[in-house]
Amino acid sequence: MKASTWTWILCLALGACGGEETQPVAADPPTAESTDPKPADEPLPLKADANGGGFRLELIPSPHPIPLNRDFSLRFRLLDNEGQPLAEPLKHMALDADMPEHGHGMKIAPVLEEKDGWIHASPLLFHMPGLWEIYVDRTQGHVTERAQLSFKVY
Amino acid sequence: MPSKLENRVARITLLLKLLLGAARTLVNPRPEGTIGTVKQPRPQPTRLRLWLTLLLGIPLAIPALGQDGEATHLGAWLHTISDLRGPVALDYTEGGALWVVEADGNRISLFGPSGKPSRQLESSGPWLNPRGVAVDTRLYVSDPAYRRVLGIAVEAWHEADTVVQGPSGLCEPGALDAKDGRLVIADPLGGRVVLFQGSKRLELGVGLLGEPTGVCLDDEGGTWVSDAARARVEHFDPDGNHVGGFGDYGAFRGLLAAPSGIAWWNHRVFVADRDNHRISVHTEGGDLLYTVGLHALRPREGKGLLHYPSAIAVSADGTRLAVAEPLDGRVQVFSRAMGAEPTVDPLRRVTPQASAHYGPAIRASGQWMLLVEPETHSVLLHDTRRDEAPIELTSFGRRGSALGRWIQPEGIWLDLEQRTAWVSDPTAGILDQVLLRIDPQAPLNQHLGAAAWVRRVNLRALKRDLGGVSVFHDPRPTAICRREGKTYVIDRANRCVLVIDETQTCVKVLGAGVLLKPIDLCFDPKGILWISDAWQGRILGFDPNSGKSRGSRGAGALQSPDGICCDQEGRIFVSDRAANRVLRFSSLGAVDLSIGKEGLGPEGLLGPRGLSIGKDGNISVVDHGNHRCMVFTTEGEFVRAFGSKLHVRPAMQPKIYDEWGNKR
Repeated sequence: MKASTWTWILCLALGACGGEETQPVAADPPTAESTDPKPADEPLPLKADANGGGFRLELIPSPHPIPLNRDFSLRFRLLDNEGQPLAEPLKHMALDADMPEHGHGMKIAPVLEEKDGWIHASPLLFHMPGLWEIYVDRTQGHVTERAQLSFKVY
Repeated sequence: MPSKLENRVARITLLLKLLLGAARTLVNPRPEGTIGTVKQPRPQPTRLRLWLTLLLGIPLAIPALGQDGEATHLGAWLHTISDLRGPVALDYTEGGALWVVEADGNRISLFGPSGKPSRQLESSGPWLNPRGVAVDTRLYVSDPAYRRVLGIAVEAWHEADTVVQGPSGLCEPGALDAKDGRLVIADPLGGRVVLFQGSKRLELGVGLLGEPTGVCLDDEGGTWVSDAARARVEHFDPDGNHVGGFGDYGAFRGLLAAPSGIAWWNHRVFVADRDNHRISVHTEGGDLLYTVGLHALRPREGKGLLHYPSAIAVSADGTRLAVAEPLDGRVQVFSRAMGAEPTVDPLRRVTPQASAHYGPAIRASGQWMLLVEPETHSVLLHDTRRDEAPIELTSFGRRGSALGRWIQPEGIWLDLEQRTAWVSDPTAGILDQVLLRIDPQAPLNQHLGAAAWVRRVNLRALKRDLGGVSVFHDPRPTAICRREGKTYVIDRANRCVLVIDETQTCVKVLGAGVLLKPIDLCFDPKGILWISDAWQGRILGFDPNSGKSRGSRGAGALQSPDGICCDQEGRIFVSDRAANRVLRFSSLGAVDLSIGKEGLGPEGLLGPRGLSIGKDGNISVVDHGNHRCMVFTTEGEFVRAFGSKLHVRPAMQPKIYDEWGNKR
């Protein structure tokens, strides 16, 4: 086969790999039973109990559904088990996201800001399609607890 | 774009090169152990010098770096000093003799320039378990069991005097170096380095260093430190100020995975990178000059191939490089060779990689089994429901400091009913609780990303008065055991067991002042907590409520007890890392069975670590040095092995594969 034919095939293959199609996203609080994300029309705010049950998480991504390979932001707040917002200092909170099936996270680190009783995080970027998890960690004294939400990004 | 003709010429040239290389290998195989000898500008003089060195022991026959305008490197394998018992430290004398610390033999041995033994200081001496050695006007030996460093006049070594004493000074002194009246001591568990210069005492790297495992002094008064936890090399000036460093975590050339030992010679920094199985040679600015050694993939490979190199020394004239490999019980000595750096053996690159090691810990609960995989900094969950090798369901964790990552996971615990795992990281001082979102009844399948972190307990943020007992050092949590809602975790730095309740509060401390090097722990059916102590060479029992001693077992029988577990009949199984076997103690306390011996066959073990009894009643042993797990019945009969294929074959198919993993 001629070299030029191989070049065309390579170009076509590379073209097929590109693209930044945005698809619906779903979210799901983790349980011991399942990590299957719920449909994209999950009402906002998305809610999850901390994995240890110590607090509750409410989270609103923007835009919703979360786009693939485009910056997005979110805001979240923590509630106690009676549903009352927790006045938690920002320095005791951390937010991160991971692709648990791939063993890596985001390529950028979001900045957290407190405003109107919510904590705003931006920028975030889900650069690969697949299952993503957003983690919110709350530290009290010598103990850090985690709440998390799962998202399937296409 | 190259033309057809150019492509053909390139292909033919490549083919000819390969054929020529193969022919050279057949006609004149490379000298054993040299890491590549393909590119040598003047092979004859080099070979002559090698023979002169071997026959006459004249290191001067080999040019030092930069002399007479020739580019040379340290990296040609010269000889191996074998049959050592856990060599963990070494240092050259001015005359080119080599002192080697054999931790498992509790002795320090002196070898001549040709590798012949010439003197041995035995364990009945003043130390309990020597760890580091340095030669200056005296011989300095670190004795971590007593948290001290001894100064020894070799001719009167029974009269050693204590140079430095803990516990407020040192947590656990390890590597040493001494030069021109200066003495520098690495304190890996204390996370610092202590420098003595006359009457002056300086603490280096406090708050910076994670786990300084190697230390050396340069000719200008500076101190170099290898930090295995941070994968970094740090440089301090003569006043103890941090002036720079280099290194980042990784496997590629120029990166470091676990820099364990360090040496300095002629503005070159030599780093023993334990987990990358090689020696990296850097400029003082951190630029990589070359690497020495490739990973020994086949069992017991050597002659220049390395397996967990842990300590390193360069002779005063720069013609010898000695590398200690504790797991293989040997020291390999390298000499100078022509060329600026070793060339890589092209045939070696196509050899398949060995699987990671397992260990130290293993825990079973029901059909599930949890294992630590140290090189990937992760924990593996297996299912043992089949009567065959277990199936890996998921792995979780990776290297890092955030929640969900570890610097080095070590202790583990598993509870199938709660679908929960506990993992400790001694370097970070933390204890993690992880939810495993897997249905144990579901068909066997991979469950990627099934772990969800529940919480992390930072033991270093606890108050210093733990359970009413004062502690001096930052806790280093290792082995974990749980009973009645409480977590029992060994704190290696403070040599005790911390008891943590459901509110994550330390409510009690057990064994403080009694334990020296607690390794693992388990409960027997009567509720007695048994703890293996490597430096005392026995296991000790405690009442978990009162903290009172309930006796000990194994004194005289155990050399370096490691993993421990107990069956329903109250029989206790203890792995002896130094003796390469597992001992069974009857419920009355007598040794009634010995399982395993050094080797790779169906009975073979090398540095066995954790133990666990599974649902089928069989005992699984982490055969750490052999990259595998061995499963025996409680009567000591071999059942199966799993792990690295190269290392499993000799056990599973001994009629087909020999002790080296080769076909018979």
